[in-house]
Amino acid sequence: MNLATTLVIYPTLFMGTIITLLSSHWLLMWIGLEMSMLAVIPILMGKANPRSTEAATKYFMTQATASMALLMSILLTVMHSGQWTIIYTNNQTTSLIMTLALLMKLGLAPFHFWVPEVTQGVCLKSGMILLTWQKIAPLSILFQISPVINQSLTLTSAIMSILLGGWGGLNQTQLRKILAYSSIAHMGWMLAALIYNPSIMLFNLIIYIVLTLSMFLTLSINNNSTTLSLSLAWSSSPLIIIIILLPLLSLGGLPPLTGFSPKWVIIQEMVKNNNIILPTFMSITALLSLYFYLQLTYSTSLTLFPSTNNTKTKWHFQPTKKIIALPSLITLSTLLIPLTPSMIILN
Amino acid sequence: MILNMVYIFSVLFILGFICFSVKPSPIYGGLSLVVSGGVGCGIILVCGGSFLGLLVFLVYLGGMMVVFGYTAAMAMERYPDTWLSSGVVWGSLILGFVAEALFLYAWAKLDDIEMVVEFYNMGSWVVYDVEGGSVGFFSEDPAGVAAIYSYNYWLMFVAGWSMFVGLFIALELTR
Amino acid sequence: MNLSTSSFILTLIILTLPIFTPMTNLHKTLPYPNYVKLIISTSFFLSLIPTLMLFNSNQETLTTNWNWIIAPTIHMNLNLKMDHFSILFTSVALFVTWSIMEFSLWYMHSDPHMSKFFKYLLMFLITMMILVSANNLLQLFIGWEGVGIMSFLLIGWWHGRTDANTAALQAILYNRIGDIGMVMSMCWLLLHSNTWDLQQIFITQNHPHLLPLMGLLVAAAGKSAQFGLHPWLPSAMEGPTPVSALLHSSTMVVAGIFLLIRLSPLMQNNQNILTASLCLGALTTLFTAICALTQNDIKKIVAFSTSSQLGLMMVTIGINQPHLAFLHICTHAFFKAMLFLCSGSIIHNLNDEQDIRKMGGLYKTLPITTSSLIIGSLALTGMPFMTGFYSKDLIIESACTSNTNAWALLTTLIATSLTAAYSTRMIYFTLLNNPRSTPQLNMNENNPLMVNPIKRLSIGSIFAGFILSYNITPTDIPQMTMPLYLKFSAILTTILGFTIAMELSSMTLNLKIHYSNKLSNFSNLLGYFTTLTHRIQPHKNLLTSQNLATSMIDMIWLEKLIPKSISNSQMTASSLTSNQTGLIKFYFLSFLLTITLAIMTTTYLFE
Repeated sequence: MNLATTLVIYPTLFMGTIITLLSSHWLLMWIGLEMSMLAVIPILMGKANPRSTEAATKYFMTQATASMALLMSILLTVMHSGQWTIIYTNNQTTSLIMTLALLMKLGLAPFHFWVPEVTQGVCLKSGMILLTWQKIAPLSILFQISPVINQSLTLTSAIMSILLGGWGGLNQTQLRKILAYSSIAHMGWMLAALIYNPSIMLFNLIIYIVLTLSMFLTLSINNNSTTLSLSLAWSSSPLIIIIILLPLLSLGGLPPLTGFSPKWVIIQEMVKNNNIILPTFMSITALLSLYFYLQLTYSTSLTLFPSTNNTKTKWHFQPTKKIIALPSLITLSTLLIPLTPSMIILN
Repeated sequence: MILNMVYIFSVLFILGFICFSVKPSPIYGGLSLVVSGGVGCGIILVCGGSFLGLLVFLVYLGGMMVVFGYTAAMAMERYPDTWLSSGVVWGSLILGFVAEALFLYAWAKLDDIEMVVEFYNMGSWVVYDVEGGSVGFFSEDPAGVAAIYSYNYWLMFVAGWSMFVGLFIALELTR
Repeated sequence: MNLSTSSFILTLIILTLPIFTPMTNLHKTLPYPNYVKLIISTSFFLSLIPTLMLFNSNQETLTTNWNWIIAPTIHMNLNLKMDHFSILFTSVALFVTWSIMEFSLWYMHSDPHMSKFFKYLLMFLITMMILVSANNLLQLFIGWEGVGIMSFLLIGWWHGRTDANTAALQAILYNRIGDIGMVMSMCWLLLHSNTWDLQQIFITQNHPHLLPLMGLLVAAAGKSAQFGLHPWLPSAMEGPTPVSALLHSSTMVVAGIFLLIRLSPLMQNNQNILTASLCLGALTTLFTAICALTQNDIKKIVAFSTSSQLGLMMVTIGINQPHLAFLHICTHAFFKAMLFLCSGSIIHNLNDEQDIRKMGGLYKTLPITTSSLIIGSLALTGMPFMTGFYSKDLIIESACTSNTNAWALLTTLIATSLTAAYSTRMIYFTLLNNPRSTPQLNMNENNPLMVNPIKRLSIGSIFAGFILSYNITPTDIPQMTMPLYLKFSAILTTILGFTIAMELSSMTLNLKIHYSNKLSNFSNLLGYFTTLTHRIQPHKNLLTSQNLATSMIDMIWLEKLIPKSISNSQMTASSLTSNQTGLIKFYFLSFLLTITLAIMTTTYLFE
């Protein structure tokens, strides 16, 4: 991708999301979504090999379908209310179609099939954008329509996402797929929180983005794409043993780490609303996710896989890649839990 | 007369989309798209949206011609797939007709289905004054276009940018 | 202050000296085993003071030495009872133990842990003394358990051998069963009379419930190896011979009978429990006598004779003659210890050979042992005017003349006859005829450490019965008149047993080997009891437990049901949900299905 293209595409990508976030007009909001969707396609495609083309096509198709459904529900809303301002619609079907369209865009449970395939097809950086930045705009719309969305549909989708995210990750050795499934599961948690307290959903989103960014950046140090390559990564950069351990456990939501705080807050909020069975089920199914995070941790940090002697001496060489944001991101993704109360207040 | 035209147009419209969706060669797919686009504009015209119909025909079909050209150029085959090549095609076509017949039957027999033939918003006319005291009429949709250009220029800007980006990205991807 | 009390307590205290002073210089001039032996003999002579005073004035004393526990409902004192039973038994036990200790000096001289062995023996004795002198059930229980533990340690003395370990475990396990009965009775008595003091129990419980009495019977049966709980006793022959001697004469096995004697005021009014102990004793005495008939191990023969005598004691308890039972305990101690010492001497001299078929002709080489063994056997069978006569004859007379179970009486008489038979067989095979042992043996009995104890005990075996029964005031009314045939029934059956056994032995000695028949197998294999209870039963038990524990609990419950099923179901679910072809057609199919379903359910079903 040359400089001119970059200059066109990246601003469009960021502007699209920001337009969606800022607009109070249904159409403009939709245009913003479309812009970021269009702009991310060349990024996904990258060096146009068949795999990434396929991934980009799949992404485009699903997103376009979702956009159509969204536009249709927008038009129905406009027909019913007579105005374009984003206000709550009273029509159940309309809000249902809108929710479904947004779930499709986010890749939540019944619509989740494309997420791992697309993420696996693209390179690490594109995957990172796909799984973090692209989640912001649809979630912001969900945030805005949260009072009228269908509760049982949302909760069903949330539970299914957590469950399918956990199950999907169990079956994987591909790191990008694992992260995609982890994203599905996290989206499920956010969706569950959405019903009860949308701010907590935002809080979870922020933490999730921080964690996923640090994971992707860590992986991109050595361009690891499989568990096996990750398990041999210690030889070229020994520090990876530690810096992959903590964000992974944090993603799994182990208590002293940052990843625990959104889970904690969500469970607390649901229990506060007299919903006890659901958070119990969610936290039990979160164990599935924890299992594959631990599997990764185990193969990366806790064991030494057999390898040839030549591979063991690579740590001599200076790393050429400089990843600037990684230290602060890892700090954020591990040590943020004492700030939980103040972050909730900020929300 | 108008009802008949709308009926014929809408049959053609649906036929065009069916033809597009049952996987012929891209050339014929593009052709049926063009046909159904034109027919759709015709429906709008018949219903009274003369400005909008023309505008869409020019803008949309202009773009569509480009698409048609590209697809024809890209998927150049000596013996392109036509609709005749598959039994499924005819099956689905017959199914579509059966469904339409059923729908017509229901429309004729049952009361709670009515056919919408008016295109309400577009047929109205706006009365305006000029300084000389004379009164004139003009259609509502050009006024809307004018309104977009006058006080909704940011939307135009965003829309134009996204149109540009869409084209740019399409080129970038296919380059 | 009465001399009796102080001398008795001194007797007990002096026994503990070697336990407390192994590290001091007190016995540096003397080897520790000799020191222990010296202490025991001293203690014996001290114990003669209260014994003689008992003989003289027939006094009984009770001391409360220390207020132990004051709980709201129970007041527990450390108190000693110095009555007929404890004083007499102490003297007898000390005499017998003195001899056994001295014999051990010879028998165990090559053992590397000889001091420890002597300490164990001493502690065994001390715990028995605690048991005997206790005036409350707690003290008695301490002694009871102490005897059990020390027997475990001593039977397993040669713990390098599997058999010894097994035998020790067997002993402690069978005793555990008895202990359960003991603890149950103690609990019952504590609940119903709020005390463990014997006198208070006797006052408050004139007609106690059957439950504590059954518990006591089970306890006695476990400790005294009555039928059902008897297999540990022959197995305990794996221990060193002095241990067997001590175990069988004055400690351990008589503890159970002693318990029943001590608590006989509780039992004497309950006909059911008396009948139960009568039948149990009769069965034991017959069964073990039958078992003794075909044993080839000399120690096992003696062991089974002990078991048979214990059954006889139980019979005596059953006909409500505890004093007679006690007298039999005392007399039995002498000749049984001596029999063991004799067999120890024989075994050692024959270079650790225990099979009587490989002995014979020892009367030339080991005259003292031979004569002692014969004296002991005669005493055991109840030959007139030997020690055993004074108690055994009385027991059988009492049984014959009492209004008792004819079956039990007949059984006892048969067992008495069999006693004579197996004693004859043992004498015949061991001592008479020609030697069948390996020729290069240097047999001698020159060592005074070996000869003196046997001599002392043989004198005891001859005269002790007379002395004891002459000096003790009869407490239960002895049977004064009876028909002649009843008077002679015991001696007649014994003589019958002797004769038949002699005839059989001399007849069968020269015949060719007759391969064993079923009856002989029954006797030789201890009535299949061991096979039934120790092999089949535990095997089934263990198999069931293994199936239950390993297969059902471990495998099904702990493995299959939770961890394996979770992992399997999750794996199946995982592969089901995440294995996809990646065709975009299916994505859109799933979209279509979901949207249709969602709209249909929410719009048409719930509205």
